[in-house]
Amino acid sequence: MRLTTPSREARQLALLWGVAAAAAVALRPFWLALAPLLPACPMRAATGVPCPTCGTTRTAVALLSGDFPAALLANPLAAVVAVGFVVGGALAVIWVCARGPAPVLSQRISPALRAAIVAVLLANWAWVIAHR
Amino acid sequence: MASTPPPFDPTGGPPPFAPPPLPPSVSPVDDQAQGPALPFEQPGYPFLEGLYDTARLIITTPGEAFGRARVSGDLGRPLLYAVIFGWIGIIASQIYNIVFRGAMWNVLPGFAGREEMFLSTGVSIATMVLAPILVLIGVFIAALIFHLFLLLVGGAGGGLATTVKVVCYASTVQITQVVPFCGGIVGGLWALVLYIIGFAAAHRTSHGKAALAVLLPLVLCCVCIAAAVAMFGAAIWAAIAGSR
Repeated sequence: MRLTTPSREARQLALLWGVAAAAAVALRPFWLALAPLLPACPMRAATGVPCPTCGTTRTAVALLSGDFPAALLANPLAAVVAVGFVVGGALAVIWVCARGPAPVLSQRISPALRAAIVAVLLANWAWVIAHR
Repeated sequence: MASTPPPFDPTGGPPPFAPPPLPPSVSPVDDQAQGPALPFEQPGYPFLEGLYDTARLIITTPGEAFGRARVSGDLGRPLLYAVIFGWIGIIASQIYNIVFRGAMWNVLPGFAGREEMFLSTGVSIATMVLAPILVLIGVFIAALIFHLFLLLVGGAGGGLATTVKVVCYASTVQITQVVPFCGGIVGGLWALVLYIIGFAAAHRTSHGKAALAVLLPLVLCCVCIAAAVAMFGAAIWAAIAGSR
């Protein structure tokens, strides 16, 4: 992967990621107070079939309670993405402070990667349906 | 003495008159930005006037406005813009939530006994206080989701920062939350339109790809939102039908 000197905008993006991740963790009491007030999934209530994001609230509550296995069980993709979001935010701030180089990312993705992303989304939905 | 250019190397060497590489801070689509920067991003522009003029541009001529949104530079101003409009919208919606909660239970039969659909007063006040940071979290996560789908449909002409800017300036529609009852729904639908116009203009992609990138997450991941809107609409319809 090619590396380059990060632009001001790239450093600001990294800082935004760090702030968002830190705030998401720091606001733990707020999320835990909010979670029980959220309505149940209307699609699941109406059809019995969970939507692709079903279990995300349970995943968030489990993660905020430190129960990673329960988070994985509720919605594996949401659990992995949430952990990646927080860890990535911390690393982004460290990267900004260390003035590290930025990777040059392509604005196009290969058909194989595109198919893989769609497959992961569908597989996660299948998991959510199977473990309802 | 005139010098002859070196011959073109068909085996992969650089072309004889290749343009100089762009500096790392400049996006490839930056040279296509139309017109001056948005008023809120222009140095020396009065703050409130810049806020108002930018909002007016986004509302009246969104295609031109997002075309003028610089795709490289500074993210501070767009984020501040999103925080201001997002905060106004959250304060308005939470005040209505507190004031009209009881009335909604009595008027709309669909909400009878559905207290869980409204935030408690304490959570509403906390939401208003924490609004700026909630807006920042929301902007970043929304931009990540939209950018992923822009990449999937091949419509990401600019970087993630471009997507963040579009999401920031599209928060102008949060102002519709000051209209009770229907403001949130109208604002939500209007935001979708602004995202499509904004991504098409800022990423230099087609409206079709921009629409796919905006609507696919809703179809695939947010079916719940559509169902919730349908339930809300059905409750209002039942109330209207009952009052006749």
